[in-house]
Amino acid sequence: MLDYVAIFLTIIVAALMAGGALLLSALIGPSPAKTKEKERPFECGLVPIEEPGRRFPVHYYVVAILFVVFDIEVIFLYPWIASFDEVGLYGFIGAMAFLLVLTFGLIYEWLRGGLEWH
Amino acid sequence: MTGFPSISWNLLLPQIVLLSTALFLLLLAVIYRGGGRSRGATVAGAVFSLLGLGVAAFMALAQYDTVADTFGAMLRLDPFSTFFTLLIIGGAALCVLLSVREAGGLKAMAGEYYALLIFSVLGMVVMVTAADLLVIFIGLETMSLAVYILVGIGGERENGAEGSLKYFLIGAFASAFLIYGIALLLGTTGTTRLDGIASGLNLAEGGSLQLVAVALVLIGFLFKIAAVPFHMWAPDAYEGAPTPITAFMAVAVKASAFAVLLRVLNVSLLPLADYWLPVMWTLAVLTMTVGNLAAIFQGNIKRMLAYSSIAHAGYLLVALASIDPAAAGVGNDPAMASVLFYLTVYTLMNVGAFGVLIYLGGGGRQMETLEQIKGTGFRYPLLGVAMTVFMFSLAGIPPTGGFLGKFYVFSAAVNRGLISLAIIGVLNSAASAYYYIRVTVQMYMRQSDEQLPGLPFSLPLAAAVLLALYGVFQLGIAPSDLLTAADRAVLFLR
Repeated sequence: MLDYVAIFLTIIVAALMAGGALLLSALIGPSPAKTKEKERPFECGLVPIEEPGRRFPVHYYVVAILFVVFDIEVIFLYPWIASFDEVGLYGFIGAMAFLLVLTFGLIYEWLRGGLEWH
Repeated sequence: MTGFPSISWNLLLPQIVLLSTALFLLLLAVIYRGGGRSRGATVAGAVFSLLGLGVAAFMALAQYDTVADTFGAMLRLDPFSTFFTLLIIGGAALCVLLSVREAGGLKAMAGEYYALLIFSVLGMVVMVTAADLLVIFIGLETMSLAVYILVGIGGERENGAEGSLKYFLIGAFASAFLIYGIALLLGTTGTTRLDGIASGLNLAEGGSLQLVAVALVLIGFLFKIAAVPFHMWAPDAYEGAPTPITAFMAVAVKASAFAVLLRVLNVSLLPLADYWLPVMWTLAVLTMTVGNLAAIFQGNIKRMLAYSSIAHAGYLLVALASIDPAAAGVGNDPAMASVLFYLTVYTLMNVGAFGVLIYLGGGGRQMETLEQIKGTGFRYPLLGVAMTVFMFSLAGIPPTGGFLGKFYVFSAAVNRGLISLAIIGVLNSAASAYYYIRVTVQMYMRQSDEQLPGLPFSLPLAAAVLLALYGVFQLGIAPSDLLTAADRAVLFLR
């Protein structure tokens, strides 16, 4: 249990620092005038150009899923390349089997029309 | 350069065959879709699914006596895992037979339907052969993700999307419980290996954290078998799913989750038996009672069978509550063998009941509620007789397999001195007879309000119902072969 005391202390200190900073600035800081400008969403100090929450085409979700698939693929391929000499032929076959299964997914996606925009 | 690690690939042949079948079916789906031949996709999908399942079952059968670890001892092959591999593949094959008409109605999704079905079977087979909690988790997710989609596939049924979403959200929640429990077990015992956990469990040192971990892991599995109070998703998911998928969920998903539960309880958690046996006792009573009471009030037969499936999980939990920790290493435990027997019988009678229901719906008239099946018994005599047999078997009336299944479970409870549990079980069983036999009463003793249409003959459906019928009688009259196999299988759990 003693191992966790440090973690609890960290949490308490973090909460005190964040809460304390807020509390102190509220207590001793100058109270700002509530203008319309101050109430606006903060966008890097500029006047917002357009409303947030725009619609976007639902097609994006297919693209997003494709992105996840290839992202995972790359994540697994990097360590393989980094250790290419150590894992040798076995690693090569393993990586190829992995790619083969993913290729099935790509072929499915492609033929099913997942890459067509409309 | 390192050499090839010694992986006995031949031991993994069932899994490899299933994976190849699923990938092939996925390609088949898009090829047929391109041609717009949905009927071809349905038939080809069913044929290749059955072929793949058959080859995988043959491979599993060929290694029936093998006891071996493979994949760095992440997978363990023994008669127990092979028993469940065969049971799951058999149940899935029956569900494929039930699916031919339903999948045809899916049109664009027919090919994917079979591919997803085989993917989930692959996940189940990985689950039951796993020797490590993480591999169990991977198998469980492979199975679950495919089934979540299958519940809502097609999108034309009224409650499909609702059932699918509820199942997915609650299932994901349950997976979080499971993985959290696995993490805590790893932290307190230093391993995720099933046999390593048993030696790592040390209440004096790990203390209550280990009990929390065990509870979380068990909750993860209890969600999948729909034990009360983790059953809320089951009725909606079962009702919303296409009927063959309802059957698939009730038999295969349940069987694989019980296989994992048996293995984890016996291999990993036996030192904590004093803690989980009373839990199983309580859950058994709750699950049986809630399942049966709720089933009585259902007018929709699919929903009634969903609650009945919860009740049957309760009977199976009676067997888990009757496991004798002292029998470890001494001999076989009838309580564990009774789970295997019961699951086999349950697979047959449940698939049969759903099969009759699907067959009745073939005439273009919906046949889902007790109102709608009025008078069907005399109009379709063979289906009426079959349904009656399955209902009697589900209620546990001799000479059907359902009777012997309940008999073995309750006698295991009596042998362990759990008299009150056995009495509650028998009372529940008697109450359940009311709503099972009501189906028969509706079919035979009520007149239909309208003219009942003729039903088109369907070979795969008829084959599935007849196979189930044969199995229910075979197990009710000559159960010894299956009992011997079950006894032998559970010997390898410890």
